[in-house]
Amino acid sequence: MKTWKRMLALTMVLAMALSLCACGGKATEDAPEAAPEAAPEAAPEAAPEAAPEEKEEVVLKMVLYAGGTANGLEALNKKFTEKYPWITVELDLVDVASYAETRNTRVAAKELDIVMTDFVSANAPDYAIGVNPTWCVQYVNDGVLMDLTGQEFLNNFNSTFVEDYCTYGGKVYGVPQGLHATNLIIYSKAIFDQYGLSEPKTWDEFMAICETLKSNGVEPLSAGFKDGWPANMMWGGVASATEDMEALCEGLWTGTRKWNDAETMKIWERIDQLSNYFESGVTAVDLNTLPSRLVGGKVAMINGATWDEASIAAMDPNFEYGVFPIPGTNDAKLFGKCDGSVSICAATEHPEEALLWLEFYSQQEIYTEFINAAAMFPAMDVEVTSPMLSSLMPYFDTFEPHLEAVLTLFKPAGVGVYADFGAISNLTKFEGEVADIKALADLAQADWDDAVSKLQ
Amino acid sequence: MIAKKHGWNRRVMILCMLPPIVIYLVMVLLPSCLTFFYSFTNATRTSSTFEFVGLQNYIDVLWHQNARDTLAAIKRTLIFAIAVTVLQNVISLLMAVLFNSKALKGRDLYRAIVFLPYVLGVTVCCFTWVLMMGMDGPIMTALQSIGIESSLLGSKKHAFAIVIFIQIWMNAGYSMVLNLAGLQSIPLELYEAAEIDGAGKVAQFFRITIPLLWSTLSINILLAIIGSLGTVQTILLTTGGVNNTSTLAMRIYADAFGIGVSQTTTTPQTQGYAAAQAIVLFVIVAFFAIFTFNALRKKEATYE
Repeated sequence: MKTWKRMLALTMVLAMALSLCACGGKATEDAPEAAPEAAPEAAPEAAPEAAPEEKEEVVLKMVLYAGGTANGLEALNKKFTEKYPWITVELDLVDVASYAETRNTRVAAKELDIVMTDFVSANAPDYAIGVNPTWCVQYVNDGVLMDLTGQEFLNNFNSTFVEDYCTYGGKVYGVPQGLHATNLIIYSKAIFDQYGLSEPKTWDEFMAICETLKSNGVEPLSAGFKDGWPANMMWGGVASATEDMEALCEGLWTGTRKWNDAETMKIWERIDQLSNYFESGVTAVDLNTLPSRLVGGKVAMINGATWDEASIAAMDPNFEYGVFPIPGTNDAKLFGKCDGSVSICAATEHPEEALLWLEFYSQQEIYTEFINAAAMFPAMDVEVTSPMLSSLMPYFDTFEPHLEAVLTLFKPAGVGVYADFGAISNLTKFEGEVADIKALADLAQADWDDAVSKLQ
Repeated sequence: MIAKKHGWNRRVMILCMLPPIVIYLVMVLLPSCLTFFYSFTNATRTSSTFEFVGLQNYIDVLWHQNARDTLAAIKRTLIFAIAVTVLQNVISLLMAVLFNSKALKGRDLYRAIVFLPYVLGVTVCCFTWVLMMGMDGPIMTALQSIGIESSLLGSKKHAFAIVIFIQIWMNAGYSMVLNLAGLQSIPLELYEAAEIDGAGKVAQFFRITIPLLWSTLSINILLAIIGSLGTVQTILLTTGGVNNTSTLAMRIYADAFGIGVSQTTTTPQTQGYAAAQAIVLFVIVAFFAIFTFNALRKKEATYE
């Protein structure tokens, strides 16, 4: 009996210890190896001719959030597998809020082969002192990304895109996706027709339209303020229509400009003017539900971006809308961001297949379908067929894709919340605590001065 | 023979205690010690190599970050913890007393309803409230119909109070169940004797119920303090940390995983930096936990 008890107790302990081992992962086994110094010399140029049964089944893993880009990728992946039947691409879609966390975790666990990256703000200008490295720079420093320098398929893209948005420290780590314009006003044609309105060419015309709508009991405008950062989009849209954003950014850093000087106050004042026309409760609207405010007839216009095309089409394919860049002092121009790049994880077990995928993505015909499905301005000379892109093509030559570089990322370490272009949501008009636009501009400059002084 | 039996029992006891002790050491103590260790390094999410940076992460947390914003986050953390602890325990105690009464018809149903949010889990509860309080949701529509204009979770004025409410709503049921268990261990004879002595319901509550329930209440209070100081999920799922709702725990999470409000270059976005913030939070939690624990122990001693 005693022996039985001992054996039982021992078995229980061993079983529990085993369960612990099972939870322990395989850290030693997975000990990171040095990132490859360089990618394989050249990507395969054509689909292998070998029969599928001769090839080992390969699964390439990607992760992204749902939306226009994902729609484009899903179609692309399907075609890729048709051409290379032994390679399956698993695209896991997660919600926007948990995307960065999921991506980082899976990269760290070496469970991704292809990863969406963003080198837009990786190369900080010399004047921006004390800027912490972006997550993509950390990826490069940690050897996470494969060096793609010299790959032939890079030549398919306009070299400016590769140099500006995929390169860091002289090496290329991705192929570009495309450009999203974020200073757009998307409007309901039915409402505009009802009140005899047409697309404005100047700021004053824009304000007159807002006033007409409001006086007729129509909520003029909405935006995705609940998510916080879309307030940056609106500030950037108005600011880029008012003055040169790169000059403003450099001026703030070098001290020749202030958040509250006379020139910058012109931007704040326009923001203040525009804030009178947002729908009641606008800070409860998030970016995902924003298009539904327009399609559902709740507002006449939304401050949107090219990525809204897919959402609007999904809600009501017959909904008639028009789009124009926020007009300003000068001729209207497009302002926005390069929506990053596509890279290969250095730790992938399938580098050849991953390179095949990038080579496939970079083919003109395939890329054309992708950017039209994702509603992005292309990074190579291809035909644009997306309705929203087509209507904005007259402005394409004026595109300033610096939203994230100028507005969001190039800020001194530790700067306070008011020195942020999204800080407009702190106004009492948006249920915030700052009474007026001048007080907010003063707070912004104080926060900026405080952060910069600590860096010196 | 008896000695041998006792020796065997001790060995069994040690063997049985070993697994939870090992689990605690591996899953709790070791990560906690490593957090302290990493707070002096520049470790990132995606690299296994790191360098020691001395006190740089602490300098970044306590000096480079805007002092007003850091203090605001600490203030919010304390308000969150105090409000959740006090309100959750008062409400759960009152509900436990009410639902313990045999005179109340359908009390099992009420208990189940109150406990339901805890069973549903944080994700379901938070998304339910986000939908209810969203634009054109039933709550916002009802408030607008009586002339109250608020963006609720989108409002910098009201979002934090709503997050506190949701946290209490989710966890009050759990506290109530612990209190119910404590209440049912109080002998009914004590209440009968008190009634004979002429004590009213209020006197019975403060002279019998509270003293005899104190050990359960102490556990509830400590659990609420420690749980609320480390709350991330409720904030993340309702506001993502924007609209003045980010506490220290939320900031740590955002910096450690590169999400939400801190996905910029204003913070270093490294595990080392997040670990330094976690140590700062630990100091605050430890201070409050020890202070509260001692206060509760002293009170408990006066009842014994």
